[in-house]
Amino acid sequence: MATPVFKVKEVSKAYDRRIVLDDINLEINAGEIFGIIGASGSGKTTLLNILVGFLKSNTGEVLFRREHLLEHKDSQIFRSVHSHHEELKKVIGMASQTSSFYDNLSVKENLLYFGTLYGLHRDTLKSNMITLINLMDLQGAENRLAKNLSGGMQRRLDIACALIHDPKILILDEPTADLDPLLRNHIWRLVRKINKRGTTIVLASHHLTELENLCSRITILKEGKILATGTPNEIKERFSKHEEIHLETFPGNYNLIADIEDKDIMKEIAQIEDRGTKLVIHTSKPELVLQELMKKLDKHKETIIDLKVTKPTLDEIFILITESAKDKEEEAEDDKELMEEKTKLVEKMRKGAKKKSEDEKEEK
Amino acid sequence: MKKIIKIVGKNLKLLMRSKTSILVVIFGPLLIMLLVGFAFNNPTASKLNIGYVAPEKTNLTNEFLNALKSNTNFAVIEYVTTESCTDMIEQGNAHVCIIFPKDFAISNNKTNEIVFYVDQSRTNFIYAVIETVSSKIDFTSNKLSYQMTNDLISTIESAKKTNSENLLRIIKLKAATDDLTKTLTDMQTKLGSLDLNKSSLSTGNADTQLTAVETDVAALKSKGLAIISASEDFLDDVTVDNSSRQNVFEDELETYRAQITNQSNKTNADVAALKSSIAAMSTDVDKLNKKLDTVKTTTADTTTKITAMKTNLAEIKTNLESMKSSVETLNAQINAIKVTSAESIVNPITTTIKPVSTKSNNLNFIFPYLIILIIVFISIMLSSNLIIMEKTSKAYFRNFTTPTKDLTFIISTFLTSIFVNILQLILILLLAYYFLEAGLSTNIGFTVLLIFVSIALFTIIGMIIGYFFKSQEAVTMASISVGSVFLFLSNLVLPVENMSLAVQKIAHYNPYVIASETLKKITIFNAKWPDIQMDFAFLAGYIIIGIILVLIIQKMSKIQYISKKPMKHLLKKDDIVDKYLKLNSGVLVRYEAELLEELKKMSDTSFNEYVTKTKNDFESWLILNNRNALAKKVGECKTREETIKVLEKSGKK
Repeated sequence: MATPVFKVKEVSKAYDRRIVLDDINLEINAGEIFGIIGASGSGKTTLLNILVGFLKSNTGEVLFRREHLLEHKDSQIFRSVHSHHEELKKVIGMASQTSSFYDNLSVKENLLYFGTLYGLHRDTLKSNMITLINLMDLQGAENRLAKNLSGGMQRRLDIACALIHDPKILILDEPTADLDPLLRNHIWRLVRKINKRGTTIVLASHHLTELENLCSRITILKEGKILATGTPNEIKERFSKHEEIHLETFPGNYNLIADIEDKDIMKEIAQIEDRGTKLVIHTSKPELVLQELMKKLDKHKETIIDLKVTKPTLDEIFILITESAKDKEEEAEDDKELMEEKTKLVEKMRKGAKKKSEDEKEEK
Repeated sequence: MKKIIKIVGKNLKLLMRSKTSILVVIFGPLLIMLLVGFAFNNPTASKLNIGYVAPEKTNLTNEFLNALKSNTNFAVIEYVTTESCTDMIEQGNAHVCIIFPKDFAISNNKTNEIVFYVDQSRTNFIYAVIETVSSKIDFTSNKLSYQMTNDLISTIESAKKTNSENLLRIIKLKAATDDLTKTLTDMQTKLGSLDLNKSSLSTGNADTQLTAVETDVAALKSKGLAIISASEDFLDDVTVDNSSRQNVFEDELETYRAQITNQSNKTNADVAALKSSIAAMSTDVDKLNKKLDTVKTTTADTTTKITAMKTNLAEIKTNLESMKSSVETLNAQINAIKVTSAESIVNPITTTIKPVSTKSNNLNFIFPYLIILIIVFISIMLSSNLIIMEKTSKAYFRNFTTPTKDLTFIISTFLTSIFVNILQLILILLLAYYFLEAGLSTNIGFTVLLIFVSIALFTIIGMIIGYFFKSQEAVTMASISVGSVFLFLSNLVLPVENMSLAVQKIAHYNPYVIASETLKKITIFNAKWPDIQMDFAFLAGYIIIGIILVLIIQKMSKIQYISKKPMKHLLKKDDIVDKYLKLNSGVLVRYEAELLEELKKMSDTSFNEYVTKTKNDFESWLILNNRNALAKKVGECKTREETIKVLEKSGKK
């Protein structure tokens, strides 16, 4: 059974009159890589800052399980992040969206400095530093000033600073922001390595496709609210029954291929996308559609270059969720009902007012 | 402790590696110190440009001008008119303009006024200028006064001498008057006692008596002759052995006879003469009686005149008394003048300015103020900048995530600032000592303690500023402003005594004033602990208050930083639906004022999402909140501006 290390209960946060987080409830388990995904401004960073105690929520609470009890799964002793902040700091490390180190200190100096602030013994600190330098591929740059490092190295240094004290929980906020794909890949590999050492990782990102393969569980935020929490597959299952058939053929007359006459089969097709170089068909019955497609390919003398059947990516699911027609419809209906109600009320009031003024005139 | 040392080390490294920090915080003050040191390291007075206007070059004018020109620090330039001279002051080419009067000379019923034109806006310099020039003018004026006073004193002395002589004369005169009076009195008495009664000479008696005398003489003659005869007879009768003796005796008897006869004859002649004399006397007596009458008359007149004379003499005596008294009084007054030296009258009180300290260099006098001033600015700016650099640095967040107490960071910042300050001060003091020959006294213990306390205090003030403000610019401005306030509420720019009483009271508690004055006492006057313990107590008090403020403000700034004005009460979902208007941006509008605020921020495009031909969400919301009258007005509005105006008007009511 998964042991939660963080419990977020009914947390809400507002700046001035803008609600940034609205009634957030979730649990983060030990040893997992937990992803928080959402569009920009959805509240990811705010949630992470609340998790580490940097921000205080307006309502609700965030509980963490105390460090020395992490090994004791049966001991469920949780404490508030805010009242036991100093204890929490010993078990977590955080790399925020913007790198957080001193530009005018070298790699070594930064690591030694932050390690000292964690109260590490000199030998432990040195050992950790060497380990992290190797882990983060910063060999040769130990004495280079942080500002003179490349973007990727800076990000790795930032993560290294977060790990210098060997925390049980690592919080990463957009660790791959502004990095090229190679570097991003490298960072994700590092994250896996770190997780394999037993560190629980909570990360926020909007690179959903990458998180899909990395995270044990994810939660999707939209406008401060959690839309869904679960493993990537669970979420995909919940929000999309369809699968995707990716077909690449030669010569690629996709308009002909996509022209399926069978109405029964067409009913099972949710969407057909002609992406120019390939055809993507969204369907809940891929086997049936594939059969039809084979016939079409044969008929039109199309040679298959590539064919795969996949579930929608998290990106696609996310888009689906955040901009779903159903949502829009439901919302529009809700709005319409409300507006109708209001309009009726307004009309009633207007009629009442009109009658009143007419009565007053008659009296005069 | 390890953390503190690490943080201090980190701060120092960051300072050293930041070129801006090095330039502004470290080298800046050193440069200022050197410049100020060279500027003030001048034992002599400043060169003054003195303009003058003299309509007439009288002797007195020339005397004053020569006195001014004799001072090599004065550049004395003549101008034709007052306006041209004052223009030079306005342009900054002259420091003072002296207008000598026409007919400048010393005489009775004439006041000679020398007018000085100065630039009062040079308040920190003008008094020195006025004093310097005035002292020269005063010196010359004193010289003239001395001469005139000397003359006056000589005249008084001469008068005194004459007075003394006159006094003697008066005394003598008085004595003479007295004598004269006495004499006249005697005369009067004598005259009065003169028996001027007529007398008559009764010659009858005299004749009778003379006749008696004749008779007697005749009788006497006869008797005498008888005697002689008898003697002769005797002699004849007597036989004397000694015939010579007898002869002699006989001769003698003859002689006696002759004598008697002669005498008798003479006597008779005399008597006759006497009778004639008596007769003559009687005639004379008559004449004398006549004269006596005359004398009597004259004596009466004389007595009267003597009486008048005596009266006059009495009057003269009275006047002489009065004169004597006046002269004596005058002499007494003259003698009572204790100060008879012209020098003492012209300059009854001389002032000699002696330095309490043997140091005579301007820099030595101003050094304590400069040192503390540098401490003020360096400490405040360094500590405030350290804090704001930390707050605005990328690493601030990571520092927050470490299990390090805020107090550790506070102490580290404090120690970093102290360390840098001390290093800078050592450097400044060494430079000042070697190049400017300025230094601190041998009272090293107190000096070091005072410097340390000052650094600590102003570091804490800088830390308060650093924690209070949120941006580099605000911190810099605040640091400079605070430092400037300390500077201007001190004696360094303008004398504190020129300020209002209330400000003076505040200035006395100005920590810069306390610190600089205490350092001055220690370094220049070698003050002892009892003299400065109150000052240290004040500074210590300020430090304690500062520490408390640092802790409070740091806590508040942290709360503010992490909370970013959170909404105090979050709303329940039902409330949101029923009572409040949720805008498309996610903002909740609870009251009309908030609606007005949002409308002002909103674009027209966004506005059109709420207000169309068929609906007006704002109107509906107002109706739901039973604000029907306002809802009606808002319902009539088609544009955002109209709606804003209606809400504003409603708000004013």
